[in-house]
Amino acid sequence: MLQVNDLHASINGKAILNGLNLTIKPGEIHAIMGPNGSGKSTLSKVLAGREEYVVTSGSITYQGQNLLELAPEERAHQGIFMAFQYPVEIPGVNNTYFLHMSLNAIRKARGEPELNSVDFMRLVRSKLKALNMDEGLLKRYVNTGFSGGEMKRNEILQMSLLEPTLAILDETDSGLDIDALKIVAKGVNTLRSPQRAMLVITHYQRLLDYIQPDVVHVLSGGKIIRSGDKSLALELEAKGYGWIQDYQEAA
Amino acid sequence: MNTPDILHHYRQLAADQTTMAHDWHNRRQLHAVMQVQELPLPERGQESWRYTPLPPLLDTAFQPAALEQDLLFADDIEQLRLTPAASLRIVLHNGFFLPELSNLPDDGSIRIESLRSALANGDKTVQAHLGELSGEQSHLFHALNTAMLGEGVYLHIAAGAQLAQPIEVLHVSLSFASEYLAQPRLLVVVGEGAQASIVEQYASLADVLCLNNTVTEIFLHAGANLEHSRLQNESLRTRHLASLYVQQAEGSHYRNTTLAFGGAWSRTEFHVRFSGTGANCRLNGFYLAGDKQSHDMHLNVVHNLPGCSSQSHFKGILQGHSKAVFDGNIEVKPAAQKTDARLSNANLLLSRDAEIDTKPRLEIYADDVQCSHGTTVGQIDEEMLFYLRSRGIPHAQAVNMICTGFADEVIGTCGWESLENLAREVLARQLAAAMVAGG
Amino acid sequence: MDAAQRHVEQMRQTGYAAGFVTSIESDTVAPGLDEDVIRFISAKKNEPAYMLEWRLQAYRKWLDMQEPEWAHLRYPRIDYQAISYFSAPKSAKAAPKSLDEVDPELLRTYEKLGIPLQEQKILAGVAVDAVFDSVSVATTFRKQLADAGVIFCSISEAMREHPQLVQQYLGTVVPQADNYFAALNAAVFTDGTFVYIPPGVRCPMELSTYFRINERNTGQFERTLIIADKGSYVSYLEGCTAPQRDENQLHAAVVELIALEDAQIKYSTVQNWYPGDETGKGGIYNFVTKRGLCAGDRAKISWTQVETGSAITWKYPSCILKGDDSVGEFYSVAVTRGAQQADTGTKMFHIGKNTRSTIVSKGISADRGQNAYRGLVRINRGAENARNHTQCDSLLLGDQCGAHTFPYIEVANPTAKVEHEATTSKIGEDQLFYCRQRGLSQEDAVSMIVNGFCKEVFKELPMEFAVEARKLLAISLEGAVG
Repeated sequence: MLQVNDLHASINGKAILNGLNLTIKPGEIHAIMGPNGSGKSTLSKVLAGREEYVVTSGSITYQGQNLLELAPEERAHQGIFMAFQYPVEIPGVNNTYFLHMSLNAIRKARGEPELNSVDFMRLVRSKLKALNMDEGLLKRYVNTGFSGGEMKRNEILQMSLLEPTLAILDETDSGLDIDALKIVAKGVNTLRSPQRAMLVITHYQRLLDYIQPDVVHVLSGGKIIRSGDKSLALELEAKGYGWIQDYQEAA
Repeated sequence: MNTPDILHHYRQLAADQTTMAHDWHNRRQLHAVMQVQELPLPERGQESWRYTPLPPLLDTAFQPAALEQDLLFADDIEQLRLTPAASLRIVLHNGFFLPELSNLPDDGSIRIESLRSALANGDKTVQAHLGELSGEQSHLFHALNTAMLGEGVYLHIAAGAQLAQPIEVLHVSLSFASEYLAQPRLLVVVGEGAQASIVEQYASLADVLCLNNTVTEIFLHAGANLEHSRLQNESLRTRHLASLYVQQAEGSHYRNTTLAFGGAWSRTEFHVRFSGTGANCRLNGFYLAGDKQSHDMHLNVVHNLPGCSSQSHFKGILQGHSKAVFDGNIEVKPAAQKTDARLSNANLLLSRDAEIDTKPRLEIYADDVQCSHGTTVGQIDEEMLFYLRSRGIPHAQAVNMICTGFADEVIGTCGWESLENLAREVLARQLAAAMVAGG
Repeated sequence: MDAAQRHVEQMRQTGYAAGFVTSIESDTVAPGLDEDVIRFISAKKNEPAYMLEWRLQAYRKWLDMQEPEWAHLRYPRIDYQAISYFSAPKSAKAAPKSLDEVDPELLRTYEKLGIPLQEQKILAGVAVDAVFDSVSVATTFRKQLADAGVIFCSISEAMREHPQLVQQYLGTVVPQADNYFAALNAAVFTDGTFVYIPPGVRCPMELSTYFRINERNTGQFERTLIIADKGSYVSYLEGCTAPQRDENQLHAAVVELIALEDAQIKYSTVQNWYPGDETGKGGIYNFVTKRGLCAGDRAKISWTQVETGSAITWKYPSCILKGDDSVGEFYSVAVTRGAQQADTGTKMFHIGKNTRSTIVSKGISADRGQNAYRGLVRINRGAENARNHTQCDSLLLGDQCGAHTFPYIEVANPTAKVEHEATTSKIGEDQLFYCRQRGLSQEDAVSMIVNGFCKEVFKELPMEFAVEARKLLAISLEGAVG
């Protein structure tokens, strides 16, 4: 589904990704771990199409097409969803309205009929219920004045509504208490299907107790230095990131 | 005396300068003489004078002060000083620099000398800087100060100098005469990467009617850092007009805290502009207007270059029959992207006879900027008052406590304890006096 | 070029949606202004003698006045002698009794603007007093209003039919020589609207007038007078648009509102006159004096405006809060793009006890547009416990425009509480990216963010007007926001 080949990317002339390779197949959940500054968030932003990040070489193929040619909204239309590490406040814009606009834009792009307000509300309510979330979030302005936990829950609600093909979770677990963490995990696990893939970016192993990854990658210095199964995450947890340095020096 | 006569009076004073066998060391001085002949008197129709009560400035034809020998003594300075006896100290008596009462430096990193002598000696820096800032957007009294330039002071801090102790500037008003005009003049140049602080005090040793028309120009070179605290605590018959001009080069920092307590009438103007990027300017002000007093604060911060920041934070308390004006202008020019400019003004009105007029203005011509201003006017928060009283604190003391807390946010930024303590004393005394008078 | 700039560029290239001209013959007086022209206007309107006298007085005062220069506006000197001060569509002489009698061309003009009179009549239950150039040509729902005792007619008709009301109130809130443009209006106003709501009556429908400037070189001088008697309520909607023209057109309207004890007036404006081309050429000069008087206790006056048009806007809808416990409100969205300039805001005069005022101003600047908020909050000595809250936000789209705030706050009573906040921002790249990641187009994202920015103002508009305002904002910022 997703093939990243020798990806180099930089921001403001500073190279962050230095030859990253990654292949994700439908149905898989990949976890990317790594210390601060290793390029985790850059990878998610490049995949979602943030224009400040410049791809200097390499390629990204998504479902057989060149992803780098697509605008951010076109990527969203094609089923790429990113849960932001820092969701953005949009004052004055009602959250329900925003979700409705977003869902219809994506449905329209897929050639599906747009949902009217009644059907939309029915759908949102069912998603909220499935996630054990209350309706309070809907009435507020998009992320405005939300607590960290509320923002992340809102991201998961959006993800479950938009039903992406490739979901990227950018440190969605950071700053969450255990209850919020379970909601995030539930959202991810509910979406799990043979057609979908997920890329879970995290600093801590904790989230992986709730979301079972198929593959775990360790990112350092802008490239993946090791890949393995779930046990790699536990190893990292036990040894800490300092171990990576030693590992790299040894290699 | 009516206003045309007052205008004529000042024009004559400036014109007289041309007949004194003056060596025009500085062409800006001559230009100022000409400006005085053309500029009108301040009037309400001019936006920056909109709310300022004008009679205190225009009802008297103030006569230039003469240097009065043997009036001010070392004992007086000892009594007034806010820094250790051995600290560097500049003493001005009715605008005249008195080297014999000052504490002058003996090393080469700091120069303190009379402006007139620096000009006469052909000092290139003084030539280049004096009047460069004050000449722009001038009003009559700025020009008058430059035109009649007397024994002002030139303070130069060499590049790289790091001063551990503040330099004290002490302005003393004291005279046998009345209705006199003192015109202190200061030129401060802080060299590249130098760090210094100035503790400035305006004090009166006699209660006579006078006009203090002071102009200060400050140039900060790249990376320079100047902390500047000013306490205006003159007698209640003094009229005080202070104009402060600051130009900041790349990466420089300037912090000013101005505390206005004294004078029947005071007006302080802050003019700030930048000559390099990445500079930061903080202006803090507090004014306490007691019965029959008026204080004006005028800010004119021009962001003409990108990436500079300014924070202006002014607070005031008004008692008795008093008036205060806050006129804060921030202009962000088209080139000044990435500007961060904040302006706030908070006022406590404690009397039925007090009036505050405030106009915080933003004029913005660049889009990638962070600018905001906030203003509040109100009385003491009843809930706060109730809380204190429910803890057994008497009403008057509670009011005092709240006002002190309100003011201390600004006073506490002076960074020089003896100045802060003096300000707190003056504040406590004035608050108590107003309380006795019944608000 | 970043995303916001691209967006602005697209907006800039979009023409003006309402730029077309209706060809209707007009009865126009030759350009120029003197006492004879005023006599001509007065005679043409069959006015009573007291009105002519009043006009002449205003004219003589105007001659001694100076055009104000304090506003943050730049425009070439106006030649008042080059303006024609009277024009009336010929069809007006026939005084149509119903819409069927109205010139079909006129109706088509409104249709192009998306204001189908017929449809509105049926769907919204809004009485429409459409002003084409300077004379009212169509009035509907007169009967229903008359049953409620509401008087809703042209001001010239009111002078003849209700002289006592006109004489009692005209010029009491905006005096003849209040300012340069108000004095000019008093001398030459050609028509406008008169509304009187009797005591205790809640006006059964929202009253609405659509203005339209149509005649080349014709100054538009409207005069509106609305009186809400004790305990009554009225909501008045004013909306306007103008066709494309080459010469600048002067508009100097005066609106006076009087709310007696317990009365409420809600006055909403959507202004979309031709803003001129990219250089500002041909746009409307809009110098308006709007002021409301809360004469009685507990009276309330609320101004809401959405200003997207005109080359020059000079407008400060104000409230004089004289009655105790009276309330004044001002909600404003002002958009300037191209070479448009706006200097707008409000004045709140707190005179009575416990008076309250709220000011919410949202300025949006794009291209080389200059947007200034200018507001005065005055708390008089006797205004015990007065309250004011002002929120003043600017949004900048592009690096060539300007946003300015000039608040004046004067407080002479210690029990007053006044708060003023102002912020300036641009549409953040991260906001845009977030929306686009959720599948929204750049245009929709911008439109959504801008509408969110204006939310607090739009929610004050009557429902159907809010929809129109949102549409107008989208059109105004068009190019991207299809």
